[in-house]
Amino acid sequence: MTPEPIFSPFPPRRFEPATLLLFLCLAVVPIGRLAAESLLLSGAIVHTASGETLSAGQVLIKDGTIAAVGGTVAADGATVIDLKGLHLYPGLIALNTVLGIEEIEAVRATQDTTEVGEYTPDVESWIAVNPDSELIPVARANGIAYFEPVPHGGIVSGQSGLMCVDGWTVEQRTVRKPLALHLFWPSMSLDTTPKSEARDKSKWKSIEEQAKDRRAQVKATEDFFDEAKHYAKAKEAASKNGAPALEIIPAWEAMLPYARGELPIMIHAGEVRAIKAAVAWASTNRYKIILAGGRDAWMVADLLASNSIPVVYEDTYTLPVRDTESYDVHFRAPEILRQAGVRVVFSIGSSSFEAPSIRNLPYSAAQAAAFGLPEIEALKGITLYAAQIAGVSDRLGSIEPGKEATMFAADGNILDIRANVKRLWIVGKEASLESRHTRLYEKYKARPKESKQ
Amino acid sequence: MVIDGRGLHVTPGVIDCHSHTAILGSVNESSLPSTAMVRIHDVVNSETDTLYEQLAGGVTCVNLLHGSANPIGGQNCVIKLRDGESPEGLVFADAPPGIKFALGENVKQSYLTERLATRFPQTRMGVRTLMANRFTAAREYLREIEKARTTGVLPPRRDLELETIGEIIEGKRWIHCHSYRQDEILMLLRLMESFGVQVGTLQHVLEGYKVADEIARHGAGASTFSDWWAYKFEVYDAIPYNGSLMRDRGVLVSFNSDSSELARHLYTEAAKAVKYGGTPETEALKFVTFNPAKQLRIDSRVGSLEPGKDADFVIWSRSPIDSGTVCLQTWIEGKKYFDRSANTDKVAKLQQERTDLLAKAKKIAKLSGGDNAGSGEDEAAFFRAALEHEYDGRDRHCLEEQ
Repeated sequence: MTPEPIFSPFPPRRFEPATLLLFLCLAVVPIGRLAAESLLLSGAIVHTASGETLSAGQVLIKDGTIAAVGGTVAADGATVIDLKGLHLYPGLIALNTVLGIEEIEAVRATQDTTEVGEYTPDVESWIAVNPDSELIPVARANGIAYFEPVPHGGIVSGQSGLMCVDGWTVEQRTVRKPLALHLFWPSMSLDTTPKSEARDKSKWKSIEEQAKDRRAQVKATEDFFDEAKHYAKAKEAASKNGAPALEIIPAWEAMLPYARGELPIMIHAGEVRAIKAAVAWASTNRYKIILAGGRDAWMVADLLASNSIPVVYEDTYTLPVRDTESYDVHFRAPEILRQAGVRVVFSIGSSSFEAPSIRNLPYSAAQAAAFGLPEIEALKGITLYAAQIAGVSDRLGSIEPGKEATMFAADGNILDIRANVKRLWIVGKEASLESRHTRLYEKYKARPKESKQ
Repeated sequence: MVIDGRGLHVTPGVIDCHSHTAILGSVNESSLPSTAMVRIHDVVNSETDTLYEQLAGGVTCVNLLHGSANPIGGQNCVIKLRDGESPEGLVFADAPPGIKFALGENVKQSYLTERLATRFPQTRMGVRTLMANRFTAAREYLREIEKARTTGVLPPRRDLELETIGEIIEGKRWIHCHSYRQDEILMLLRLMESFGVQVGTLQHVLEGYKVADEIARHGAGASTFSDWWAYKFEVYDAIPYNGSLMRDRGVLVSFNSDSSELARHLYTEAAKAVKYGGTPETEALKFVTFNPAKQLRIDSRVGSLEPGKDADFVIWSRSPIDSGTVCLQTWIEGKKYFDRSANTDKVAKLQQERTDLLAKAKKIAKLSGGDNAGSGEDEAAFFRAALEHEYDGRDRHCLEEQ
């Protein structure tokens, strides 16, 4: 297959070179490259994700970086690792999760996902990731190398970063901060339950009252972003005119890169009216957005394509919501979006219940592939495209010279459930595939049979 | 009629041993710790779209269970997905009766506020006590009936709860028990053994791998999730190797959905037994066909493709264990209930009907607006509301039914 041009999911005109450079200096955290030995991964089917799939390729890793990829590359003194019969993939990237900021959904003390307040842009998810969460090695064992913990709570819930599944400390594990601001678009649907059937009659509202509330909530959100813009302008003006510096307000400081359109706003919306409203708002204000959730995105595929809005799609496994929808509508949605020209990344969702199941990320993509999405697009939707959306495609997301050597070898197609990950390298260093699950498996597999009670 | 199946795969229909689909209203009668008298049979919903959606995933037969709010829950109902039939027409009449039991966090009301969590039991200790008490009472009830029959004294007043538990003791009704931790699993097995009862299935049974020998020796089936874990404290030790480990130790294992959504791809869930623990593919397929049929004691009719059995079968584009497969046709008792090639037409017709109805509703809403009081304003309001209406999309399973 021919390599596709890699284009940014965001219109390039939005990047001011100067701010981009500044941003790169400040925000990209280098992962420690501790004298990793040179490796030559040899003989595997190499799924580069960016270019051709090599039927028996070689990948040379030096200092944690991919030095060469090809049918045969010069070993250059590297230790040869025979991967014959295995499939080599770039490490998977799980966007839109609550991995690391929650251990057990039902145990409140283990939750760090949800903050109080409607507008809390200065809340930062990457600082609260528990490196020793038992959930992370379980995800890692199926090839998940990076993940985005998303803060929840109000309408503007905070900012997410991109985390690595390996590293001693939370700082070592932080790959990029911030990745995006999270805006949970207010619900645009109305509850039509009659008052007589309402659970709490005191809280029941008429359609008209609800519509009014809905307008007010959207207006408040728009006002919040407008104020952030004004703060950014005032700050800029103050710095230019030598006027006294503005009083520092943390929430508005946090909003600066988003108000200026430098960093993306991830808008969480599923229902079609919410998506349309969000797109209209973003386009008017020239905000850079990513749509997360995207249940009904297929209905407005052209609108999303013409606005260059990528979708982090979390609804492959969602039942149809309207009785006129085909049973397979959410299996086919990624292909509908792709055909319209929308970039689709897969997520299994950032609900608390899903955190332990992040390892199943490839199967959301696989189901879309079974229902029409080309397999290479399904693979890109969990690797390269996710890296682009996360703003790290210069370092991650594919097996290409110059990128970080984060990849795994599986004994089959990773889009097939039967395949198992056999080895994993994070920035050139082999990582453990052990987890709470393998430990308990080994322990109880070894329980002597016929033990008496 | 000849179906050209060259290049395709045909399997028995998928059987889901744990579901709360197609049930009207709440799946829990949670007022009492023992609700053995209530029946899912009475609330089967034959009108729901989920029947078709699950047929489209190859599902033909489903064990509808009461929720997990009570140690002794309600009576189950096994149905076939004969979409278009009445509620009675869905019922799998030959399936032996069963009942839902539950243990652990749900029944001890761990997720209620302190003000509401006052019902006995509140601990795993109390769960055993409650069960032992109800079974003792049921045994006494049976004795009194027997005494009345043999001596002619007046029989006891009819008690629907004890009558049902009595059926369990007499081996006429099978327990399907929601369970997680190894200690509670053993508690149930030993308590039931003391009443001469064999447990039908342990449901979820996520720590079953720790006591697989004991489960096998008792003879209970294990109907588990493929890989769910860590959503509550009692499943922190759940591992996806559970199915394979239990099977290796001689337990009859199935994978269930507990979800109208997951049920639609239970066939790919079966592949997780291959992935985790290396269960052979043919055996993994049995986790969602033959084994649940055996667990529900309906294997003389369904669960495998054999002469004499019901013609419940599925045609797939690839092996159902292959993640790239698509279900093409689903048949029950020789009648086709799902055909992917006819789906496009079906959807187009529905959409046309919706478009027509919307046009009509909009017309009414427009005509009757404004100051035209008393001439259809209510009707107009109804249609305005209807036009805004959106299904909440909620997928119900027992974990949410607290």
